[in-house]
Amino acid sequence: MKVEEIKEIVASALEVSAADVGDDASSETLEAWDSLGHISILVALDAALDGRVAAIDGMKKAYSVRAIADLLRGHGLLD
Amino acid sequence: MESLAELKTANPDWHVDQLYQKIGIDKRYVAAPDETALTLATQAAEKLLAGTGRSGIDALIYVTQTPDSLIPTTACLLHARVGLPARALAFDVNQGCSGFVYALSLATSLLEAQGLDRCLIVCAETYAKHIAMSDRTCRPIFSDGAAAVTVERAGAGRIGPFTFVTDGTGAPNLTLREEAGRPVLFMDGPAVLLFTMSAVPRAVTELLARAQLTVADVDLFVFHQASRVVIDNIRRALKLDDAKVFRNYQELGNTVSATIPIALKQAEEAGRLGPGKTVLLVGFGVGYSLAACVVRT
Repeated sequence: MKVEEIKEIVASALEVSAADVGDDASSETLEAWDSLGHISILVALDAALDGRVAAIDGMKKAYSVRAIADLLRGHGLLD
Repeated sequence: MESLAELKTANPDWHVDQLYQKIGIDKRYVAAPDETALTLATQAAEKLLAGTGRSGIDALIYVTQTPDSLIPTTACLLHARVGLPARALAFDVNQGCSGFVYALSLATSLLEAQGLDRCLIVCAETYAKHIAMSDRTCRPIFSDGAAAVTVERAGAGRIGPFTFVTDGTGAPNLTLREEAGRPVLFMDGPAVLLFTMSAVPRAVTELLARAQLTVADVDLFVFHQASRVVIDNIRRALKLDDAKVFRNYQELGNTVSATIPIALKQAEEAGRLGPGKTVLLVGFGVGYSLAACVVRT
């Protein structure tokens, strides 16, 4: 997966414009990224990565594109 | 009964359409101020026993996390209220969403090891008493309710094998917290979801292997009715045909340990359960705790 795909997934899960989800997007910059929004993101990421996201420790607190990318990179899931 | 529309009235800033899309729950039950879990448990047990009678009941397993009494165990109070025989053993099981399957495991063990004939299992919860109307995480999901079941030695069906998962590191993610001198339910939704997404598919796969079954051999999957997003994800992860996955959360909500027995009754009434079926039950959540089993009817 690439960072661009993470941003697309976040935008789709939160039902916001892709233009609003930059590299620095987080729960601080996007009102829709609350706990319910985070659930949608986790579900969409897990589906895109064939169920390999659910077991990643720390994902529950990864409330930014950068944090998600760091975790996926650490697990060899980011190109 | 409490609907999402009523929650919207109490919380005008909530986007209840989006909420419904995710949780799939429209209506839930909320116990009246003068009702307790024991009240609900008594009603469920009496309704069942009116049809089956009390004869031969050797054991009562009462599953609840909202007990009316810690000392004595609430099962003794329930035993007295429904007039069970003095010879019947009675105890509480403090488990939530996995509680019914835990009780099934205990009941089948008691029937086999102690030579008992009939075991009464009653599941009852009143989580809503610990959830404020303004709690967007818990209030739209949890529902008060009770269910009663008898497990009997006689008959052609078989219960088991079982599988269990316990992960106490998840305890802080779904628990009662003290706030302003009152116990308040707290749930970290994303954390609990991640547990279910990782643990449930693994446990189901392991259980099917132990039972020498495949997904195709199972007629009906009855998961704990947590919410739509949880069951959708389990179904996706296990690649299950949705027609084999029972759902009733929309009009009932998540009644914790009572969801699976209520679902079994509704599945039977809907003609989806009957003799000769293979059913897989999976309870999971608070603890973290998971219990699953195969039931052959």
